[in-house]
Amino acid sequence: MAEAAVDTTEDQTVDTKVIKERLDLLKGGRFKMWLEICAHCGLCADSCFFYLAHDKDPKYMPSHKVMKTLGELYDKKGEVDRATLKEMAEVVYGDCTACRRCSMFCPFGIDIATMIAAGRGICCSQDLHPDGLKAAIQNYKDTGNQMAMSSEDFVETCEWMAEETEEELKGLEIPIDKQGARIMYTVNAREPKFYPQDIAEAAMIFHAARENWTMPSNGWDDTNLAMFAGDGKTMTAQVKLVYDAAERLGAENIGITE
Amino acid sequence: MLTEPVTYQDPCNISRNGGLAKQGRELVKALCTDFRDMRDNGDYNHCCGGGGGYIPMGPPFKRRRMESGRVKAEQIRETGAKTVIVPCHNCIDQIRDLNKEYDLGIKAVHFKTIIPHMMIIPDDMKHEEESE
Amino acid sequence: MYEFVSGPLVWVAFIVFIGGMIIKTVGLISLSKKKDKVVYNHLNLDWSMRSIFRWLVPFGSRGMRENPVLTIAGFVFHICLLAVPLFLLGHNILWDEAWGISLWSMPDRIADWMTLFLIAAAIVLIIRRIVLPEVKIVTTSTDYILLAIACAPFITGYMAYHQWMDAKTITIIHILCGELMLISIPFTKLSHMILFFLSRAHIGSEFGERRGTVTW
Repeated sequence: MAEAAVDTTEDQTVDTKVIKERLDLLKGGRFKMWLEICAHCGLCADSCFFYLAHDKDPKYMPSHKVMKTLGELYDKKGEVDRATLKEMAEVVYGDCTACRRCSMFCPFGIDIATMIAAGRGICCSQDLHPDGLKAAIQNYKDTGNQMAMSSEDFVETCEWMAEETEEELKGLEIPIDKQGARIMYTVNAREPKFYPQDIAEAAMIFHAARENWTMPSNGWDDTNLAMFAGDGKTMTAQVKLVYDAAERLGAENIGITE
Repeated sequence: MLTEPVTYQDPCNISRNGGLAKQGRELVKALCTDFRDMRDNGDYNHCCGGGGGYIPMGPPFKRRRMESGRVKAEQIRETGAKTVIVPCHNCIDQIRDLNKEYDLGIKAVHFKTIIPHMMIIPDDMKHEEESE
Repeated sequence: MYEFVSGPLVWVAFIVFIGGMIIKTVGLISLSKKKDKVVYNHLNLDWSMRSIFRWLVPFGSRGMRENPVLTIAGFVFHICLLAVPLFLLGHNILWDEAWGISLWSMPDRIADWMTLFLIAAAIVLIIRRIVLPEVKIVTTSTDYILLAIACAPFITGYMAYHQWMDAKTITIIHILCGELMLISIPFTKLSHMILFFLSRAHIGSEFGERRGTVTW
């Protein structure tokens, strides 16, 4: 058993009412069908790198991970204590990256990763998502990006990079908030924060290709750690921020970084 | 052009969940002379082991992340590649961590790191001293 | 007793099976239209059909190619499970007498062998559940019960045909087993006989229409 990595606090409360509401909300046609028809055939096992990396330890096989988390939550109608929920959180956050490879190997085409994501949503509703994601979510809420960068800092970083890179490519600019561009380019917040060179490199490619592009001063972070945490509200707000920027600027496409 | 052996990491969000596996490969092949695909490539590629928020979950998950990344490390080692082109910020951090953990002796780079060195620069974008 | 199980109870079984499956399928689809709206903007017939076809053809998917034992056992099991009851001469004669309809029927000798193949395949499936750790860990008692429910009509049918016990008694048991299986379908995961198509259509479209990637 790996060491516990989520929720090291002493909190012992669980709001089963919220869990029940969420379970009920989730249980559309798809989930109902998937939970019912899984034939427990085991074909998903070999598709999972967690399973393979742990020398085929069956506890890492995809369908088992779902049965032990979301499946059990439905079986118990949401009546679980915090210790059980913590164990589930270790599985949904620590034993699956929701890569969706198993869906390609399920004879019934059950979207296993989507059910893991649903499990994350329930853990998140009880504040059981990992601390690293909690911090990022707070930053999204405060600043619209996971690194808590201010709009001024971002724009300054871009200007600085444009200045440096112009030495290599004549006429290079990093257009901020330009109207009507063909591509509104967005980045991972780690780029302006830690690897500004990445933005310069993208700018060089756009410039050499004579692309009509821009970056928004607000709504430029295309990552969505809230989605990974299972925080639907922040996830939606973050996506909306980027789309609103594209609409505001009348951009034809949203480009996302590598 | 890169002349050493090169492999390509299909990020889940780009290949399996983005439908861009073929385009990624075309781009890689245009940049190198010795492209070696991993086993289980394209839509079937394995996650790098750092996806789904695993990397930003931080140090408490690091050891588990390195353990489960063994599959990716083996995939890369099998190709014998010296450079891994990785078009994803998440994958690249994981693959650089795996490089240290499993001593792969590789370099992980983005497309945008190498393309500026190889692209043809239009004459009007060259500074005077460079064009001499 | 025979009159009852081969008369009114057959009607009950078919009504529960067909009616139950219709209610279940329509219910799931209407529920998904309310709660899974996101599915419908990329539902695509072409991708759905390919996704279904690939998993209906033996070794049509990578997962099947990598697991030949399960693939062969699974296909033998399902083909016999459908073909024997539908094309058995004895069944067709009964339907002809009762409703005046009948299908093509196979020679009894073939049905006999197919029954044995089905039982052999079921044994392979059971052994898998016991021997393979990744299958064992997800196996529940329901899985065994449903396998038993699916096999029972075949075992008892075989016994009846070969007159291993009192013919009348074993025939009654055989009919009851068949009815039990039909009635179970809408209430258990045996409903995958219809839901398989919905589920595969969904994932085929989800990967194919939205992203151009395959699920086989």
